[in-house]
Amino acid sequence: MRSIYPVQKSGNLFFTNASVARFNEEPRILRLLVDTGASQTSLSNVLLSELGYTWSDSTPKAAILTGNGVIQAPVVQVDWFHCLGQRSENLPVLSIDLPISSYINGILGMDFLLRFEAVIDVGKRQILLP
Amino acid sequence: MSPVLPISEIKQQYQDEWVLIAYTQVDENLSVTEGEVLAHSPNVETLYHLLPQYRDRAVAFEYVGDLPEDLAFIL
Repeated sequence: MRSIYPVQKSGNLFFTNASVARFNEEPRILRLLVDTGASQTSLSNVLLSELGYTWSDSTPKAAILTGNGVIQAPVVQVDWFHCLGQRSENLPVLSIDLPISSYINGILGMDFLLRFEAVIDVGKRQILLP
Repeated sequence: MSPVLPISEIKQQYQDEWVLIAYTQVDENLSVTEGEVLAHSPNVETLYHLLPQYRDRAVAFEYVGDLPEDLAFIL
C-alpha cells in the first residue's frame, strides 16, 4: 500500500510543503520546489540563519553547478525535517542564496526523493511513497 | 492578537504576498487550513527576520498566488 501525497502545481512546477525545526522548538512549515534536477535538498540561507544555524569557512561545502556556473554552498545539518510523511533528523541541506522573489523557501532534491523511493505521478499531480 | 482565519479568507486578503501564519490547523499534507496572520510581505526575507520572536509558536510560510506566466524557473 503506497502513501499518496498531492503536490501543488503552479505553471509547470510542483511544490510541496515541509516542516523544519530546531530540537525543542516549534516547527516551521515551508514551501519547497520539487526538483528532480537538484541532487541535494536546499533551504534559503537567510531562513537557516534566522532559525539559528550558523556556518563558517570551515563548514563543509558542496559545489553546485548552476546556470551561472559553479558555486560553493555550506552544508548545514537541520535538526529535524518532515516532508511527505517522512521525518529525518540531522538532515544535511545546502544553504543557498535564493532570490527574494523566488516564490519558494527551498528545494526538495533527489537526495530525499531517492531515499524514500518517491514516485512522481505528473499526470495526477501526486507523489507516491512505498 | 489577530483573529484566527480560515486559509480561504487569508488567501483572499493577501494575494501575491508571503504570509507568516501561526497555524492552528494543518492537514496531512502540511497545508494550513486555519491560523492567525502574524505578518505579510511581498518579500519573504522580511518574514524570515521575524522568526526569532516566534520561537514558541508553530508557524508556516504561505505564498498566496500563482507564478507569473512569463516566469521560467531554471535553478
